[in-house]
Amino acid sequence: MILNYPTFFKTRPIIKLQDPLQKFLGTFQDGVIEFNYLEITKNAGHSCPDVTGAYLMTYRALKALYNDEELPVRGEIEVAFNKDYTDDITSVMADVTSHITGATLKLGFRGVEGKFSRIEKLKFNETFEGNIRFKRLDNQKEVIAKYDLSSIPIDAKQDILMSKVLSGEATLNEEIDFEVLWQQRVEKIFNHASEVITIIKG
Amino acid sequence: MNYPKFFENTPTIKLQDPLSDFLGTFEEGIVEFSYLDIVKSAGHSCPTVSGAYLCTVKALEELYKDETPIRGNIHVRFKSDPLEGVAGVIANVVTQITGATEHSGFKGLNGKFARNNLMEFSADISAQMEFKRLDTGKSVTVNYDPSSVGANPKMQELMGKLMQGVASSEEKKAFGELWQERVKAIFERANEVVRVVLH
Repeated sequence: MILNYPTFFKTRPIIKLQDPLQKFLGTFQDGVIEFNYLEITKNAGHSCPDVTGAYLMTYRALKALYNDEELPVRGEIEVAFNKDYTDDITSVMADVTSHITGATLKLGFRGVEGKFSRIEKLKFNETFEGNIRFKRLDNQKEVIAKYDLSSIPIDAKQDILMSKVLSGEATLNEEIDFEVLWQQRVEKIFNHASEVITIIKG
Repeated sequence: MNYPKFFENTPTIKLQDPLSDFLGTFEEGIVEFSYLDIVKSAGHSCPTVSGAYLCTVKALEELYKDETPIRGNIHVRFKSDPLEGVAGVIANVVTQITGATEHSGFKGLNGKFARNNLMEFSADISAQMEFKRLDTGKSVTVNYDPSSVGANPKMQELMGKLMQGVASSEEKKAFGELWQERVKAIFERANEVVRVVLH
C-alpha cells in the first residue's frame, strides 16, 4: 500500500540513533535505528507546527549533545518540559520526543536488572526558559531548545478556512485549500529550521 | 537498518485518521502501521511487543470487519495497573496504532479529534484488554497467552551470561537470534496465542 502525504515529509532530516536494548534483543544489528518525519506524523495522527517543532528541536538538540562521530543513545536521554503533561502542546511535543528518544514518564520498558529502563525519563513542570531541555544521562551535559515561530506568519486565509472546515460549511475546494496552506506553513518551518530553533548549551 | 527478515512477513494494519485528513497530512487520512514501525518506537521486538501488536490487529479486525478502523474512535481498557510489569510497554504499542492515550496526545479542536481520555488502566474487566468502538458501542475483549510457544532452553543461560557481561560476541548474537525466533513463532501461531471475544 502507498500512503499519500506531502512530498516534503520524507526529504527532511532523518534522525539516527543507537538503541542498546534493540542490540541486546537482536532486533537491529548494532542497535542502529532511524526515524523520519513521516513516521512521527503517523503516530501523532497529524503534521502541524507543534509536531514539526518537537521533531526539529529533538534533531538539533541531539546534534548539539552528541558530536558527529557519536550516535545519540536511546534510553540515555532525559527530556524535560516546563509545563504539565496535561497541557495540550506540551503533551503533543512530549509524545514526539518520546517516540524518538525512547524516554517516557511512566509507560515504557522498566528495564532488565537495572539496565535499559525507559521510564521516568520524561520530566514535566521543570523550571527553565525555553521549550524543551535535553540531557545526556551518561555525562550530564544538557541543552535547551527554544522554538519561535514569529518569523513564519500564518496566511490570513488559513484561520477563516479552518473555522469553515470545522463548522462543516467549507466546500471541497476550501477544504483542500486549507490543507495545502496548513502543510505549506509546516514545510516553511522545516526550510527555516535554523531561524526558528535556537539551541542553548547548558 | 538491519532487522530480522520475518518482520517483513508480519501483517500490517491500515487505519483512517480524521485528524490527519483534516490537516492535510495523509490523503483521506489513511495511515498504515507495520510491526517494524512499532518495534522502532518500542526500542525492541519481544513477546510483549508482538503480543500487543497482534492483540490490537485482531481486536480491530473483529470490531471493524470490512471497514477501516478509525483512530481516535477506539477506547481501550486494561485490567492491569499502568505501573505493573509490562503494562506500559503494551499500552504504548496500542497508543501508536489506535492513537488512544490516557493523558497525553492531542486534546482536540472544537470537541473533535481528541486523543486523550481514550485509555484506562486497572479496569474491572474479565480479560486482559478491551477495545471499544465509540461510534457503535461494540466492544471486544482480548487475552494473550504465549505460554504454548516455548522458549529455547539455551536462552535463559545465554541471557544470564549477557547480563553478567561474560558472554562472547557469538553468544550475544545467538541470544538475539533465539529471542527473535520465539517472536517469529508467536506471529506464526497468532490464532493460538490471541483470543478475541466480541460482545
